Amino acid sequence: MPKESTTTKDDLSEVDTEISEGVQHAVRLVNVSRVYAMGNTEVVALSDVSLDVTSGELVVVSGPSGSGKTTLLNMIGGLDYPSSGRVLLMDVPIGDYDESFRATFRLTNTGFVFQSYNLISTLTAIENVMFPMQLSNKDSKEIRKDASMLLERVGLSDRLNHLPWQLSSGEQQRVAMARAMANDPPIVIADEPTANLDSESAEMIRSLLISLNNAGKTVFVVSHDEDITGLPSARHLRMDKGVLSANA
Amino acid sequence: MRDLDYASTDLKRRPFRSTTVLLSMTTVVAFTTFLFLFANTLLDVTSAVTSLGLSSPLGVLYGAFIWTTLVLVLILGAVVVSSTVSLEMVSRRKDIGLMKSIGTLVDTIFDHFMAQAVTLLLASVVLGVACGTLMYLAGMLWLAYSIPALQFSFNYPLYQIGGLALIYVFVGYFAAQKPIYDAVQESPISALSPDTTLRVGPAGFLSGFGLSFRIAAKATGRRVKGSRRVVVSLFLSVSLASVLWIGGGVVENTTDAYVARAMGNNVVAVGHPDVLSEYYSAYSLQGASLNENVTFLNSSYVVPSSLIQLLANAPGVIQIESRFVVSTSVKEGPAIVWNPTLARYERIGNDRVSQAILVGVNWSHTISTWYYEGDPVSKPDEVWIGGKMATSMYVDPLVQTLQVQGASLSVKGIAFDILNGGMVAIMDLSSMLSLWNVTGVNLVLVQLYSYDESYISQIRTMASAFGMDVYRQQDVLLGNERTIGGIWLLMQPLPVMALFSAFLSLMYFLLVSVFGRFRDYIIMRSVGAKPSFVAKTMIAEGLGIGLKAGLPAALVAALVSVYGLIPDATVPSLLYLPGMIFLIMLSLIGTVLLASIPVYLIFIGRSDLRVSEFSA
Repeated sequence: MPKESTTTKDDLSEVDTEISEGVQHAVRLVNVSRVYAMGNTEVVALSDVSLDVTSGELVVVSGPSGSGKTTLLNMIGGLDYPSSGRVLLMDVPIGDYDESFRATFRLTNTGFVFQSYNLISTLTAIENVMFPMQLSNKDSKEIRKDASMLLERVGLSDRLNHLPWQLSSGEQQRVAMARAMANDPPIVIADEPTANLDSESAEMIRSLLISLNNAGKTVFVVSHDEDITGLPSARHLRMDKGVLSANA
Repeated sequence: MRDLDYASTDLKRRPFRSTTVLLSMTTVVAFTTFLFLFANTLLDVTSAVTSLGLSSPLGVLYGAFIWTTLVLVLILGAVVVSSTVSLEMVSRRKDIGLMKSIGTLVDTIFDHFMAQAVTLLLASVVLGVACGTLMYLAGMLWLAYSIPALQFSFNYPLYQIGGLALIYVFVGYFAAQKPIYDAVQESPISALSPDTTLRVGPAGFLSGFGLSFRIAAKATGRRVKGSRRVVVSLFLSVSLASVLWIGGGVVENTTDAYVARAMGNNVVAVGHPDVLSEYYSAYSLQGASLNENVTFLNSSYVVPSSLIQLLANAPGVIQIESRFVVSTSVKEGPAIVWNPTLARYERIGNDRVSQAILVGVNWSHTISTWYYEGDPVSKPDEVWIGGKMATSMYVDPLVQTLQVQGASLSVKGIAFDILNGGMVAIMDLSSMLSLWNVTGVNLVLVQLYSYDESYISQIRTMASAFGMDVYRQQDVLLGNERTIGGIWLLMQPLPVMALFSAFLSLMYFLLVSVFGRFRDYIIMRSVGAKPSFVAKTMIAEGLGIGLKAGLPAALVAALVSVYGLIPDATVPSLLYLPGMIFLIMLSLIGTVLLASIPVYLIFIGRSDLRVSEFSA
């Protein structure tokens, strides 16, 4: 779904200025709907969803399978376009911009943690963490140092040069966490981050997400993990049949 | 039958991949069919030009050149079929692992994939032959437009094309077996965990060009099996294009040089107008055949020695050479040779008789430096013969003799000279004058420092005072070079076809590579890689493999062109080879860019950046 608008460097610097001037809403969804065409059938994944998430909030979304949670994350992460409504991330109407701008926006403003880790298979652990930094054109000497520190923070200082298949599931997810923090983004999005992990690894991921939130990051988590859905500091939401509601 | 049903259902459910494989193989068959048909026409065209005067060795050179191209194209086709199937099997490893893990027999899996390969192969051959024939018809129209004077007869070689199609089916069948066999032999454990066999290659030679090149180098290292066959097919494609371009240029330039060496540069001829007219008509590739009634033997044709003296002292003259030319009947002389099989001496030779031009030269002061095979002439009763005479009149010319005017002359060498289409013999001037019992020469060649009109007009004034005329031989030489250049022009579609074949190989490799790592590319984009970065990575991947195959191919082609294609090869300038290699590399880079465009567009068209892509 390409957009007609194009992005220039001036546009980007304008957005950077806006962000640095202080953002009230990390995420704003205004009457967002998303409809997929599956052959002749239309599937409503999101139905008129509105949501305000202030900076520094920890939001946990739960709901049954196929309820639209992942579609919601796609919207918040700037990965998908709404069929109707507006999506604002850091007060930037992300849906109005082209893919090039959105990519740059994702690079600096969002960090993803996926259920199935999604490490680039041909890159080592440190290279996976370095990758977003390299895309940001940071100083190459600093990049390796910062990536090593991030991997050390997630307890993988001895696994820097291992390829993804040489790491356990928990280790891969920790690399994914380190990669999500690579450009120090204000928003961290996690889709079932502990679903496939053993209890020890899951605990480490939970701790990392909480510490990120404590450090002022907006953390948006889709999870069925009771240890996450039961966090008292979190705002709990529920998705059902594409409709978002506050969890009772 | 069950295998075939399942195979065709499987193909239908993977329309994108099936179409890509079909397109890739169809194109190769189409090009081979086109090249086969069109190259045969080109051979006919060169033969037609040959009949107008191109000497036999030249025709043989071009013929060998075209046949070499055809053989290379056939090999290329087989490698492309093999690499296409191989790449396809790389992408099906997981399916094979699943089939094996649920208990499917290896033979069943092998039959299933072979049925798929054969279905695609048969469809490709039918479509390819049809498309190749259409391209051939278009080529014929172009040829008819380019050379309106030539009459073409359309004889579709049905049986040869049928044979070619059968060759493709057999070659494709056997080429597909190896990658399928290798794939089905893989253990289900490694096939179901593809990453466990991942071997990331070392930093590629292009890694210094940035992040996208480093990522591409690692990605290419992953597909060792698929990449290897693509490298081979690209190597062949680029070698073919390079041999056709570099080698073709070398052949053309060397042929020009052969012709120029035989005729001499900046030469004007002085003689009787009748002699000059007939002689240069026989020297021109576009001239008429020699009139058999013209013998050049007439007392009025003799160039006076006083004129020769004057010409020697004329301004601008480097040297002059007196020649005696005769059109006469010549006969193949026999030879007695030892037959080791029968352990006895045998007589060879069929006493063939033909009309030829004999040229008497002063071997120690001739302006011609013929390219020849054999030995130099050192005695009065020795002779060199032209290529056409050697092939049409002799069994083993270098041990036989040439019989003329009752004399038997030992054939010492075969010289490259297009005079009279190669039906020519060159012998010692004084011996020839004795044989014909004449005292004067009938042709004087005057070599000038430059083709300056003032020099030529002075020579014309001198000659006309003796009833003689001047002929601008340089014009005939340039005309001959233009004709040779024209024949070369006809072959230009061949390297373009070879490059197109490289384009398709690259495109298919990139398609398989990109969609094999679709998930990696989506992850890159999800963490913030711009579409331009993805495009650069695809181009980098194509460049990496393209240069890995292309650079050695161009270098090998350059060496083959200079040292293997034609003896005494010459190049237009010192910069020719590096310039051509540079040009081929530029063409290759252009090919990579062009191949990346459709891959990128397909990728962008299919990539929904959704987290759900990665779920489960």
